[in-house]
Amino acid sequence: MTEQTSAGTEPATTGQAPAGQASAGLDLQGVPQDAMRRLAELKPGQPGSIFTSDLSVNEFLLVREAGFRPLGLVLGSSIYHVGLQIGRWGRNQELDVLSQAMYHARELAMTRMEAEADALSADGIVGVRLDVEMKEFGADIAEFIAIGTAVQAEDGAGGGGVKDWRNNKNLPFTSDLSGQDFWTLIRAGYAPLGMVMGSCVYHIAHQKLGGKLGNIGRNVELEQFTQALYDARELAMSRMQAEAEALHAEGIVGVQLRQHSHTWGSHTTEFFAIGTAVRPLREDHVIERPTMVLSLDS
Amino acid sequence: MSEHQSGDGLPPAAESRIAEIRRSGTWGSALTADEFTAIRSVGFEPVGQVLGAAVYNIGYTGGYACPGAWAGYGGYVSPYRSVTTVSGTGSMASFGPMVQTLYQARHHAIARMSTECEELGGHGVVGVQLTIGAFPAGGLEFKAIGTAVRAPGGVALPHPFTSDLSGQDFAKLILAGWVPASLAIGISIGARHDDWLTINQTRWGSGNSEVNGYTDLVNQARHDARVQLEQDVTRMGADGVVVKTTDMRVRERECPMQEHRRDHIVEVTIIGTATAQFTRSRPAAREGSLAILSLDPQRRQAARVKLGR
Repeated sequence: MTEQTSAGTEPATTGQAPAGQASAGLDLQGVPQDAMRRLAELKPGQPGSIFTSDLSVNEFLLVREAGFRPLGLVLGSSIYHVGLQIGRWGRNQELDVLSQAMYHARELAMTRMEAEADALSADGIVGVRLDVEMKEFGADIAEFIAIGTAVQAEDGAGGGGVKDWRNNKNLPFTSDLSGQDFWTLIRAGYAPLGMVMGSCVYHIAHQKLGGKLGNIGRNVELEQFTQALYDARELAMSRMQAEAEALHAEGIVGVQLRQHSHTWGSHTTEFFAIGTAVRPLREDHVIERPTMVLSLDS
Repeated sequence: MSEHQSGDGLPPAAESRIAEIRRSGTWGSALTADEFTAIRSVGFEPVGQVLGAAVYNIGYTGGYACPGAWAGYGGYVSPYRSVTTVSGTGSMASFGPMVQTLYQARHHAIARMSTECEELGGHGVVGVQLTIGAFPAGGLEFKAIGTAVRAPGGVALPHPFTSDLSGQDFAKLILAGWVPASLAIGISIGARHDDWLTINQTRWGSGNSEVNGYTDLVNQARHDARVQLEQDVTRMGADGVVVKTTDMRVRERECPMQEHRRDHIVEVTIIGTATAQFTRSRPAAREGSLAILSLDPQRRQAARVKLGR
């Protein structure tokens, strides 16, 4: 590489000091050079286990710092045909055939993902994404997919001394917490048990014609719709609660309440509650006080 | 004057741009101010924006037969359960040649980008964006654009590293003891004939059920793409791969072997960065992350909105 100029002779376009004296507080003596030396040693075709992961860079580094080693990307998916069910026009009701479908499809996807992680002898799966996507298979057909990264706990994880990370069903724990949330949870002395979810597909009653006419020009609460919202959300959240109780969890964190109509039109929606059930690792929890910062960037 | 360009040779226009950069010492880049600061903070220097491109004509794809159906007598007999074929086995029936071409075109674009990086004296490229688009005059254009960086005083590499990480992500990995080695790609195309069971499960009145045929197709295609990705990473000798995008496209076509029946074709592309762990010759002053609570309300609001789904 005769063309390569050394730092000394290159015009100082950046006006910065040489790499060794980087910003104060970061000891970077020789780090880029160490990195390049490692790359120069890469030998193609070396056997041995490699890990694959779906984690973002933040998640990857924080999960490692929490004491877990990524093993591999695990995935479970199911292409599901959702049956037809039509609600009665004027009645608020749960559409149980559709609720069943959403449950069954998600369960298939999650079970397959857990089976892949089990085959890798993983302790848990982090960064799980559970999605429903309509692909070009047909009108009532959707893909339910669960993707995560299987991890194995190292000896010092969770402050050391934790014998078993799996939940009471002897399956690897699952968690949809981001890398930052996972790291904070572990450091606070809690461990994830599994993702818990509750789903309810609800048909919202249409307003009667007289009611509709009577409401024109008035500011008024639409009681039937309010009732529907409450009922549906309660059903979804209580189902999620029941799943957490089955895992003997202390609580559920990171709960999201989502609502989509998928392809069913405006009077049928799915209420979906999902969170991560957690248990304490130790009796005492010392949650470290964060450093307060005022950032100077926009 | 048209010279035959093949392999890593650069077109004359690219050669002259690079010569100009070397002569003047002024480089341009697509880095934002934050990315630039992050890269500099770990001791790397940007040396210039690099680009690699290749325009391909996809003429011959394979996959002209349908492997999963037997011709029925008078068109009334169809198989109950057909078979998924994926391109990983290299068979003609499942678009093996098409996958080979998709790999070749991407590698060509990345190779040209790496050559520009080498000529600028860089050690690798960060922030690579790989795009495919229709070229206005015909064909598919594969493009790779990134910013070449250099480690002053680092050893020369046999070929430059490439990564699709942003400047900040690159800095975080380096600080934690990981260095990106190369982009890793896994591509697979799977095809499956719509059999009788599948058709029965997808009728509008058929109730809740998993569609076994499509599930099998999608799972096999994804599995094959992951296998290809892992083989790619093992070939490089890296320690692991951090996947950035998993793309799946589904389309259907009329079955070439059986009238009134369809086939479904799934193309899966997985792109990530293969990384290798390195040890520092001098230990770091401080290990581990710092938990911070930002006092800036707008920043916290922005973070909440981004993380919230």
